[in-house]
Amino acid sequence: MRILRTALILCGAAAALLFATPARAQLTFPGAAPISAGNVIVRTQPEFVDMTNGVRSALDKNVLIYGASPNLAFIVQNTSIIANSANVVSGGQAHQATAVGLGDTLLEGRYTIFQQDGIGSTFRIAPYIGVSAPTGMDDANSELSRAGQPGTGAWASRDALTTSYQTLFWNAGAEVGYQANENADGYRFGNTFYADAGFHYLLWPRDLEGEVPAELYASLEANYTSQTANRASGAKVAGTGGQLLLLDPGLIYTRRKYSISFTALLPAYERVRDNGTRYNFGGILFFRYSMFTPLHW
Amino acid sequence: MNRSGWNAATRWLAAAAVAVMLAGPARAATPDAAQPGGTALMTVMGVVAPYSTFGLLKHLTGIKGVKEVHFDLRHGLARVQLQPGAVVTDEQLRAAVRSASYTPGDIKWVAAPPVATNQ
Repeated sequence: MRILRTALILCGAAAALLFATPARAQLTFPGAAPISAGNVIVRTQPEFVDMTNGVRSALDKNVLIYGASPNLAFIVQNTSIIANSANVVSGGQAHQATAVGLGDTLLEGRYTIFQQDGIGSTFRIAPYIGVSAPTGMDDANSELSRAGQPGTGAWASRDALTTSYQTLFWNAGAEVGYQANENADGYRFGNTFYADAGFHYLLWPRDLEGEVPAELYASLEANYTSQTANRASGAKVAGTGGQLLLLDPGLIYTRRKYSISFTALLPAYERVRDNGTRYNFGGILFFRYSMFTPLHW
Repeated sequence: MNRSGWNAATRWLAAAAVAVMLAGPARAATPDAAQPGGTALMTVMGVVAPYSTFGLLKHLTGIKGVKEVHFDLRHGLARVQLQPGAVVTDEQLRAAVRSASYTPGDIKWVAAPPVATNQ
């Protein structure tokens, strides 16, 4: 039976590679923007988050996107936790504890199911399906809670539907998705519903005649998440779960081969359970570089 | 393999099945009017920004016989210049645009200038 399962997995992976799809255009969430077959995009996203109760997180998301065919793309994303820190009290002494290490790895596939192109415009719809593998360290510092560790220790599925409408002077995108987390060692992170929207407006240049080497966009994105409470041995963990709406103003400088972007992460609405930790502010830098391989379908 | 790993495998299988169902039949070649060593002016739909042109230019310049490609973003117009004497068909150009995930439009050919001779 195990051999059969392994064979099915290998066949599934091979078939998925043969007929693969997707890409990203928005900053803080996946989009449905075109990615050419053979296009390989590397993104690194250093991020900083400050929360109440002395909780701070510095991390770096590294993303590899591969256009396997004109409609199919694969995405691999790993998060390196530079530092997860929080105020803890042990032995009557308050101090700051920090966890450092690799986070989990997200494997996603995107297939463009609808595409309507015009001169200087494109409208696309693309679903994502993905699996988060527990590659991270879930016990980097035992002084911190399970949620403060770099990795979750659990498998998760992550599915989303994205759409984008892009023109020469502005583009908009949206995403709705759901992440279902598995139980690991008696601990289960709360499942998450998320909805995102983004709008980018071309600031420079205003004249697009001829070849355009670079562009500067202003961006405004919004990220809503609603998460159920984490559970330990079946019981709700106090201070976990809730709703959060972030507004993200930013700037995007993009050229043919690379782009540099920054966005702030500002909480507009937050509802947490049991006086849990609240979001103060955050920020993300984005570096993207495009490469090309003739290996594609 | 635990249940989570098994679920992951079935999800990839489902994705592959959907991809197969959505794959369309191969398009038939269409008559073309390529000019040896000429320049093709081709409308490309769906290109909206410089980063959109990266894959498009890679696919077009990857066609054997293509010397260089320029893209006019405002008008969605690719100017594909061939090497002297080279022949590239319309279908080759359209296939390159489709591989880049865009939609090909009209193609017009401009003949290469006559070669000057010392007589």
